[in-house]
Amino acid sequence: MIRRRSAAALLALAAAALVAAGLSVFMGPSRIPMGEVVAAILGRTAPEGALAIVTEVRLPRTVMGACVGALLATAGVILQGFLRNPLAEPYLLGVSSGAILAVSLMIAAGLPLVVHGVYVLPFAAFVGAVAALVLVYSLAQARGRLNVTTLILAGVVVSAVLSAVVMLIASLSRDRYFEIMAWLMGNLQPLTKGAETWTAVYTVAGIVLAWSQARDLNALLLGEEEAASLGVRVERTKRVLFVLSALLTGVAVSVSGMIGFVGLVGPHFARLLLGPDHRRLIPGAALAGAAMVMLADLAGRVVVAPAELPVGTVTALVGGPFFLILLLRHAREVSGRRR
Amino acid sequence: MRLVTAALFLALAAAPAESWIAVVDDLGVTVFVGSSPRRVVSLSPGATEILYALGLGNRIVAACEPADYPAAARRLPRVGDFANPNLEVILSHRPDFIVATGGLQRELVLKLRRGPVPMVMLYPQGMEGVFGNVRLIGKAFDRKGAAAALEKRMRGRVAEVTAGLPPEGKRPRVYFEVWADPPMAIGDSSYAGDLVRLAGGSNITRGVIGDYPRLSMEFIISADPEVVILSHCDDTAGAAAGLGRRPGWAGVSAVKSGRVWGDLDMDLLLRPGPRLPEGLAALAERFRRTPRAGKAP
Repeated sequence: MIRRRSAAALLALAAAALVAAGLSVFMGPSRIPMGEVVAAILGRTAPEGALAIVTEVRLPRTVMGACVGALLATAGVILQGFLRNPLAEPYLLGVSSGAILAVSLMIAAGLPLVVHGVYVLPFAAFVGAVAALVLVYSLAQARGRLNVTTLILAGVVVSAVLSAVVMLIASLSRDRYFEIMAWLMGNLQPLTKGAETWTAVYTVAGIVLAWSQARDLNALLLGEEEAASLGVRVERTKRVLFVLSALLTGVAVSVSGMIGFVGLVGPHFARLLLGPDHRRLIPGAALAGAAMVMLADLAGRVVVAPAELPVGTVTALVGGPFFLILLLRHAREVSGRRR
Repeated sequence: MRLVTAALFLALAAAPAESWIAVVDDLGVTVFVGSSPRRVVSLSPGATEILYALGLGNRIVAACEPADYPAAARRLPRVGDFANPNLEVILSHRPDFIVATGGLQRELVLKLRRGPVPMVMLYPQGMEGVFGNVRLIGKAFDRKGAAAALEKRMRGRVAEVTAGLPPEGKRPRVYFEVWADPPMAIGDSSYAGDLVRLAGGSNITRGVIGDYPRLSMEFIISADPEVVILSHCDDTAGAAAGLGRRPGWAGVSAVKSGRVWGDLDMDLLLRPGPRLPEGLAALAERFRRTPRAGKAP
């Protein structure tokens, strides 16, 4: 019964992501008739302008949105799982800021972004993400146990400091100022052809890896001692999850910049429909995150067309209030337990 | 703050009426300038050139980057970069008049406005605005004759350039990019937008709100510009060569016909000073050699 219900919920999330992708491809600042969009997608003859816009602008951007949303939501699930903190999220924990700092250092220093044919920005972002996460984790752990709000506080502070360093780099390297500032608000339009292909490959690989840890994540939910008694090698698993969440965030940030709150909204939405089992939660959250980012980006493209809103501002406008609701609920639960 | 204002009013009341000249700057503020200032700090590269053109170069005690024309301007002490002049350095030159500009300097202008030094903000919205700037400086420095002569000369050159331009609808569609990622353009309503119009181009950002709008890539491609002008801070030539490799750009008219211009002298075109008509002439000449390819899709 439960299994059937969650299968239906997963299908619904997949359908929602598909609808979001459809809207994202069919809508845009230039009004292309539906028939031409369909023709362009199917590779049939379409007017040259429509063909270029659909296949080289909208489709890559939609794929980027789906990937980034899925990556960030999956990173959110993992962070929430092994930190046992419902408010954990790559953006709020400063993980994204660490990644963006590494990325801006690379850009400002003029380092080559492609080495031997491999796009290396995601790896730089990964290193930055790991460093930030280590910093936040050790700051929050200073007094022994990991407290839910202390961790978030440490994350927000580290995020603010790292973002300030990014702005410093931006101001010092004037000719890259707007580029770096744009990274702080998110941008999904790839400027190089084929970027969406390897982003998709990284994304699928990352989610499969995350999914392979689902049972251990489930065990960790019960507590570390209980997980150990179930045969989980706790420290090793935590390290794997640690690196995995930074990797997923690093890839997302390296292609799109900072997009906040997706790692919060996606997982919690999926949890409402699917419950806490990570085997279902991980794909569900990935789908919900993908749908959220695609829709937010669509809004950013269409609302002020032909100008654009950065996608990060849209997700923050939606996700910020959501975070507050979660925070208030958490505070109420804590005070309820004390009484 | 109120004290400063009060002191200012007292000073004004005490001063003999003839020695103060009232000018209205591009912010719409009436500024009283002590007769013929002798210690000018110019934060506007355009104004620096206007001052030199009116024979007032020796009044400038400091300027911001860029100040490279005429050659004498290169030796001026600096108060920082155009985008970020330093307030303290400006005041250390004990100016009796400050000429600033808008846009990136807006915050600084508001701070300077609270101080005791007379300051005008020159932020022309187009060619007419630049003429207004010339007149304002002429008035403030009591050089109305020289200013009128300069304006007449500039107007003459502009009239030459704009004579016989094709009517709207027969002009090349222009995308004027100042930033590639995310794409940012010179808006039709901006100062440089006016120049594109005067030179005979039709800006694709017509009707778009904002002087320097951040455009969606899809919009630019669907507007199918016949001419792309690039004015990036860095590697403009590289950007021009790589334009066709951007996703979706291979079929854009400007790319197909090779009308991607990354080599225009932006100092002439984007600096609102006496040399502006020359920049305009160079741009108009390029447009003239650009036959209109076809209709936008």
